Amino acid sequence: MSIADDLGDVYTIWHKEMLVWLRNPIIGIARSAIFGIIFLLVFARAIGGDVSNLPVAVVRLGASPAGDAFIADVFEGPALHMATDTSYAEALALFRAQKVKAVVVVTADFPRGVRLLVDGTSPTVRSAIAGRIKQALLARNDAGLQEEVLYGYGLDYVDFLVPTAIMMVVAFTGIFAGGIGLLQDREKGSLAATLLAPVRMESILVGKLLSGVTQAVTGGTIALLVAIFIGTGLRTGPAEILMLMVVMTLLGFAIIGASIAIASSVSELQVFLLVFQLFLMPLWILSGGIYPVESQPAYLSWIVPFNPLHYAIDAMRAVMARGVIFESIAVDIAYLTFFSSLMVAFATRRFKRQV
Amino acid sequence: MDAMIETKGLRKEFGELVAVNDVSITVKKGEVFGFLGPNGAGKSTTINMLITMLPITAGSGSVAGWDVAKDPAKVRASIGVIMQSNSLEPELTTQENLEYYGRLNHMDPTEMPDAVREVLAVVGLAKKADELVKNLSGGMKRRLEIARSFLHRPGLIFMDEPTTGLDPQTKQAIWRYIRHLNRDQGLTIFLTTHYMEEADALCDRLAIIDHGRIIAEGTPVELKDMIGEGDIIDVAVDSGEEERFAVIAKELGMTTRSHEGRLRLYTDRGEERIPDLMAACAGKVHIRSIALHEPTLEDVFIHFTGRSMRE
Repeated sequence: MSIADDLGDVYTIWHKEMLVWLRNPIIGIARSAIFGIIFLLVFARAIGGDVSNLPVAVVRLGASPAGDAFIADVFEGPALHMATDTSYAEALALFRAQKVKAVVVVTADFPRGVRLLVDGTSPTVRSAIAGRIKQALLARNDAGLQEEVLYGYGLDYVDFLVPTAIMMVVAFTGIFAGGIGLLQDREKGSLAATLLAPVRMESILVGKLLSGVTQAVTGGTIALLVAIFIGTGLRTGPAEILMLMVVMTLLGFAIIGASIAIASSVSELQVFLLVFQLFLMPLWILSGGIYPVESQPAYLSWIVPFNPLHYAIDAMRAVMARGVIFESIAVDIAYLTFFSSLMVAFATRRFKRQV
Repeated sequence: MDAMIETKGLRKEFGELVAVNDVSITVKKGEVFGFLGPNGAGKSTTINMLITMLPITAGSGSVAGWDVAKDPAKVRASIGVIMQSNSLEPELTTQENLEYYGRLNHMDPTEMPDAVREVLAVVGLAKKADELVKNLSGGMKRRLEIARSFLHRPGLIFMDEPTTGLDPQTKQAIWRYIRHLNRDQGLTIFLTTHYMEEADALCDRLAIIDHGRIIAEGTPVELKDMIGEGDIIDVAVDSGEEERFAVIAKELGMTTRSHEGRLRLYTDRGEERIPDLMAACAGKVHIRSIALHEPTLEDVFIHFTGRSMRE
């Protein structure tokens, strides 16, 4: 058989898989869009917004114009809300009754004697209040800091999660197209008819890999379009989008290769999902997609240098925040290329063995 | 090339289990050859080795002139297969399924539309070309698989239990198509079945297989002759009168055997014995029903294995 024949076979498999995929566009395409919308508009906004309007009680022990100016500064902006300006005893009672999240005490000796009583139930709320107070104090002491954002100016948490949404859509679409699709083909019996044809195993596998990658990249691009539509401060020019699609392709090969290898090694969908969750869930949580990897303790952070999802997130985030800068993504691309090659080799091995 | 399939000492082991044991058969070009046996006899295992889906443990097999172990790709390109269970893609249409399979078999794209139309017409699915396969009935799916099996013009088709699970009417239709492929399209057909009547109706020659071994081989008529020429008379009498009937039958020179709750007589010229029996029983034993039949392959199976196939 010639190479042209083999390529023809690859196309035949790819074409068939795409026909099946496009038969249910709601499932195939809308899933990506819906996931992007829910993830960015609901999840990111719900957990990633700045806390605001926190009720705080103020206690002034003695008169101090500087202290008054400081208090005015503290309540500048939407973060804190002055619930009451009262006596120490009453403020404590309100604090006890959970009517206020914190009590700020200023004395006549301002800036000396400033006290902050704060509720530590929610670490996020605590650090928001403490941060605001410290900021105002620093400003009073003329120790103000000049901040200059070089890359990613004006980005918020929704922007932070855009690469995560793309990564997850690529991963899910890839698993459905690769491993789950293979198990379904086997269950439906249509795999048997394909395997019976005078076609090399490699052609069948490559056809399935390519159709899976096509679907995964399409899905990821739809999630990206959703992000653009919602409105993002990220860079989404042609060069950036092209680079993102390269990352999606590499990630797609890795995910689909791994899922085909696992699907070829197990007999049931339940076992497949179990094995895949065992790997994918931790890798996803530890990818830095939701929270910076720098927050991880040592017993988790050793995984980061091996985690392909981390490199995918890192590359996409770098491209979208900083533009296509070779030095900033070279390591990511190199590792993703290495890992996806490894997974494709793994898939080839297992897929041939099941036949 | 006269022999389309030839096996010598074909054997398949799964661990300790010997699924196929020393199977040697020859299937000639143009014939319908059947493998008859109960479930688990080794029929599908044999087919799977011949269509190169399963490696053989020992022995050899050649299909369409190609060695199944050495030239699997050549074997695959020369055959059509209808698997035991459905192997169509439900999310594609009838036509798309055929086109996919045709491409996989490297059919000339310019010949494809005509070939698809023709095979669909043969199995009476021309009007269902654009229907999704998942919306077809079980019988239609089977017909489509038959259409698919000869789309790429193979010389030989393997059918693994082609009518299992189908209703009697559909079964009859499938038999018609199989005969059509054999007689009008000139295809050699190798099929497995556990239906006696199917083997009887379709096969030019057949082998009876049990526990992985061939226990008898020949044309249906030859096989039936192996258990002795003669007829079988099945009789039902009022309960309690069985022994009295046996005595009367014995006086007429016939031995009565009890088989599955009925009384069964083996005899020559059965049609002449029935009036004798009726006359002898008149007034003594009340015969509720009496039936004459010629030996079937079921009887052949019982004869060789000592047990019924429907167990």
